[in-house]
Amino acid sequence: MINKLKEIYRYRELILNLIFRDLADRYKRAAIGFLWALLEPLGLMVIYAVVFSFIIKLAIPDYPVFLICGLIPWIYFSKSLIYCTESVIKDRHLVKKIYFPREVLPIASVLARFVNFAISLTLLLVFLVFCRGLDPLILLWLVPVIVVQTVLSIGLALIFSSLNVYFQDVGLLLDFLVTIWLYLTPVFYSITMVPEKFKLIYILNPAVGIISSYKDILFYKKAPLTLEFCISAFLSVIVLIMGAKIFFILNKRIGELV
Amino acid sequence: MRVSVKVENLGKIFRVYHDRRFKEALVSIFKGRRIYENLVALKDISLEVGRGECLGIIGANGSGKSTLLKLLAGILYPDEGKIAVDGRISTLIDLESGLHLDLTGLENIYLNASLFGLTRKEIKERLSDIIEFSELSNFIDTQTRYYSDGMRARLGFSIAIHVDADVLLIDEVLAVGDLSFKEKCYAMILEFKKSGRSIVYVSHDFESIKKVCDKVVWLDKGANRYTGNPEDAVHKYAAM
Repeated sequence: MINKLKEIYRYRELILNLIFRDLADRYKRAAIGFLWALLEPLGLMVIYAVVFSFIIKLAIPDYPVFLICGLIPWIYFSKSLIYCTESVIKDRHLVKKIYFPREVLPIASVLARFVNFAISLTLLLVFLVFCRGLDPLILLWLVPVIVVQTVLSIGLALIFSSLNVYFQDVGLLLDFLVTIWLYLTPVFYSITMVPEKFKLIYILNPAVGIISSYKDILFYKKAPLTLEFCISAFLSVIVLIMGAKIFFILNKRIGELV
Repeated sequence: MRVSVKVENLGKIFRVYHDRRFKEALVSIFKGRRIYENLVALKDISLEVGRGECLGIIGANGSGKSTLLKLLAGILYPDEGKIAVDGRISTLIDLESGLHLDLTGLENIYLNASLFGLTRKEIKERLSDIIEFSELSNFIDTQTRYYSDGMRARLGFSIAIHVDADVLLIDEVLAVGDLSFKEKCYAMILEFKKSGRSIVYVSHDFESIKKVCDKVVWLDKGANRYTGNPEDAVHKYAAM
């Protein structure tokens, strides 16, 4: 395990190149390029805000802001899952011909989504600090939350990207899984609205503690010192370890199956 | 002599899947049916490559030459036996594989060298050597899309030989270059050997095998048919 980590660290230049190539491939040919990464959360915010303020009347003040505080991290999470699945298969021409630790492919895929996330989050923070008087000090709490989210995403990416080499159904399954996952995560509603009797099961979804922590910090302006976040952090580490193990086992035949 | 590559009783069995869909796999497992057939690609291969040595591998198509090379590289995993490689490996299996056609020659050097695990600093140190050897200094800012096969081969070879590997694996890639570049590659390979590093060289070109190899393994249907000096091995193989 330690050796693998060392090897991945040795290939850091490759990870950077893969991140850059991923972003360049995705946005170079689009007319407004990188702006898409910003338009997407805003567009979703508008449509959800219309639905949940005018049609289903949720009693949350400043609802559009409440929404965007959860949407931006959620997009980082969901896009990580959807794009990572193809990451090993997409580079089959490399995987077949050159040795390198293949873990770097899903890792780079998640980190490329992180770049998108960092840009939209920065803009959101500027807005929150200047228009809603968010204390910049409280933003330090974002660091552990982002780390936990990235750990969880990389863990899941290791599982899905290697499994997808064996069964390409994984990509199709994920499209639908991500939609369900969205409804089971407090993105457009608040965790306090979840009935107490379901809560114990509900917080076993590791995304719950992560998204609700972003809301605590960005919207409610308080530290995310909650049981949910501790559970998320614990589960994320478990998922990462499991993901590394699964990838290690499935990797043995990836070279011939891709 | 110190050994840099040691292979013991190596075996590789490919699984040829009937149907890789999840549903079919579930149905087959449920019915107790195999979802794949086994195809023996290599059986009971043992060999050693010493430091400063070049091992040639010859054999007909489908005899397992490329499979052996990919196993040594770590691209494939062995089903039986053991492989021990001392040091870092550089592979030249397909010269185009690491090249991204939208990128320029220079950008490709950075990308390709990073695939071999080099850091940015290490690449910068080797940059002028790589460009000089490839003879592409005039085209280094051109997209590799517009390169000829020979130019791409030169770039690929030049990168792979400059990454400071301890073991170089070459698969049938020198066939594309012109005569003078080939000569340069052979000279480079001999120098590579002289500095105490090792090479495994797969080729159909007997002249080049005789020129650079110290020892040759003849693979026949996945088995080691003959190991010996290049002259004898090529002679025996040609007499078949």
